Amino acid sequence: MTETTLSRAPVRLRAALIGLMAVGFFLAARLFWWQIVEMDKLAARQDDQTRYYAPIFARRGDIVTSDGMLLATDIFVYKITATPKDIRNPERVARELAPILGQPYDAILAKLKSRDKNVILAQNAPQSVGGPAQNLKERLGLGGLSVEGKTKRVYPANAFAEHIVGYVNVVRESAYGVEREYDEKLRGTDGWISGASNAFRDIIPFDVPASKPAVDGARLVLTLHSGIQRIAETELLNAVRETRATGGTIVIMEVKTGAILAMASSPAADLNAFADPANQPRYANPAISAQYEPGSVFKIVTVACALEAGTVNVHSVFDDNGYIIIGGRTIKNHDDLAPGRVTLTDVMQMSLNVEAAKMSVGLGAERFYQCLAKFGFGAPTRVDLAAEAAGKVKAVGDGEWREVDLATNSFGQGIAVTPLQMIAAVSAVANQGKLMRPYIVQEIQPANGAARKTNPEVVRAVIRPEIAQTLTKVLADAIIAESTNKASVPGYSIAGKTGTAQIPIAGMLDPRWTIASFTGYLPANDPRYAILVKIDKPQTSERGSQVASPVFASLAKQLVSMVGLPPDARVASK
Amino acid sequence: MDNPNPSALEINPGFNFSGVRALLLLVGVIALLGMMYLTQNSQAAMTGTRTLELQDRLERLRRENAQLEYEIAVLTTPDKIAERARRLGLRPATITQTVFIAINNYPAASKPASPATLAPTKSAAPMELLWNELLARLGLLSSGRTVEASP
Repeated sequence: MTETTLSRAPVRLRAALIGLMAVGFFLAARLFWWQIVEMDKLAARQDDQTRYYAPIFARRGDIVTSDGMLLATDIFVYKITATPKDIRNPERVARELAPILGQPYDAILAKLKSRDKNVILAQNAPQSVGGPAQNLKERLGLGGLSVEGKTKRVYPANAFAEHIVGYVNVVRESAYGVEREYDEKLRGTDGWISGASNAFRDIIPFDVPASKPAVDGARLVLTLHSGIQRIAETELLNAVRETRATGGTIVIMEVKTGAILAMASSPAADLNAFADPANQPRYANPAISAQYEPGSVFKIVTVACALEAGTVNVHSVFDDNGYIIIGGRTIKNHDDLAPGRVTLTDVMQMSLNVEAAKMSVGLGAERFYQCLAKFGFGAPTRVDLAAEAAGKVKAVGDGEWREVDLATNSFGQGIAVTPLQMIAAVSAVANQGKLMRPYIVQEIQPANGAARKTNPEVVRAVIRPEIAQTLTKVLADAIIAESTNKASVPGYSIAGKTGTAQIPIAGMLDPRWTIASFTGYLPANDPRYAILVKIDKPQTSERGSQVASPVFASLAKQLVSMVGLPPDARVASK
Repeated sequence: MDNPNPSALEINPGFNFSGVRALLLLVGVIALLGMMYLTQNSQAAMTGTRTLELQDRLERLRRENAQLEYEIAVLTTPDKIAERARRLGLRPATITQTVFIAINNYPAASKPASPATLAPTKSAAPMELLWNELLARLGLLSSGRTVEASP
């Protein structure tokens, strides 16, 4: 018996030893698992349970007009929730919360007594609700009540200047306009506050809490003037309504700097209602992204190129028999005019397509298209707004270009431009031949640091100053000579040109609709402001002279009154 | 039995008083350090509480300020001001109602105000600022913007 026990003992001992070793190994493995492999996860969980961490939201920078009108800003909205099991006296809490939330006592009480883990009492509540709710939480020591604030982008003037401003959606993504273009500058940097927390996740001030303050985004001051913008929007709205047009665009620019004073397009939509799918197509800015055939306004550019090249001059006399054949196609004047001997002023006054075509043909394709490129056509203007289109100018040898394009392009057909390109080019003529880069942000004011002003930028000199002056005089004389011109402003000299362009559709031109426009500047003897008016598919008349010119005149009258521009009787008395 | 050490209840001549003093001193120093530590912690906690309160107040003021700025902006949009002005019987001046007076050698006569400068200057009185703002927004500023005669 004893021998047997003894002989078996080592086996049991060995088994026990092996068992203990296995258990030890298992424990060591588990220890290794939790202490080494899962260390970061557990530390994070521990930290999460005992550390208080709260973000301090940075406010996105404000966007204001040059005269201080607030166009976009950030406010705080609140989500108020409760954990019913942690609310000890629901009757009292409901009684106190009811007037703050503007909800019936019974409804709140029912939520506070529900068996749900969490109940939502209010969402997107304004500061007038969130602030008092937070005060109540602190006054009553309500660990079971949570008041979480977050920033929300709002647009106080709704649809005012909407195409310029753009918007920021609920997940803080920017779209269109200045919001998109200056997203990084506007965004700011969130801060935080951290410390030990209690069971309700409220901070316990064991020591000075660690924190990093939020840095708000930069404030943007636009070149836009609220008064001028309002005039533009009102005039556009009236014009679209009166002519039963589908839409339109107005741009007002300072010719010497390229600063955009107003940029309005119709239809427009409320920036606060971006969630409505019907509004989405209305947020793109047609002034920089809608490409159209400018029509006869483009003759300003063609004549400028011809004058600069010396192929015509102010004393040139043209013999216009009403048509010209280019590339096997016959080009005619509008209304089949055949005026005979005409001057350069007559060409502009009567808007003669044939003479414009002769000028571009006289220049030759290479010089003509080089000149268009110098004026900025076929390339973005580099305006500081998101989603700018480049326009389209066919190039010789690109497969699309035909000989007749050289002729039709001269009077603004077969070429696509944006309204901003057009007004920038005309402004170059007004500005002694210097093409300016259009800009919309006048100053960036960071929350920390020095403000940065935008300096006007000369892109290039496209024509000589004397050529620009000559052309301005031709344009002004053409308007004076045209007794029925509705663009005239009493006491002021105006230089400009109407445009009536057909709309290309599926390989042909739309026989029904036109785009009526007028682009001009004033005063002609010392140009300061350029105005582009474009009305899409007007129904009362197809002509720019009937539809767009009166809008230009009305705008100009109000503009000179607003900025205090005295009449230039010298030219006007001619 | 005779007491081998009759003075046993008396102080042992070999007893080291300086050792006790050192011990007491050590205890005192530790107590003092403890007190200092507790005081410092208490101060830190109080400062932390105060910091939290101030940060919280700052954040609330920041939020309230944002809300107020927004509400002011909503109430002063050009359309709202125009509507109120219309109710007061005001209307935009037409070009024929604007009188420009040419003053020889007066710089402003040949240089109209840039739109950016139409914003009221800070030196103007508050009521004047408000009035100018109203006029500028409505396009009425020209009626009061004729070139002033200079001596």
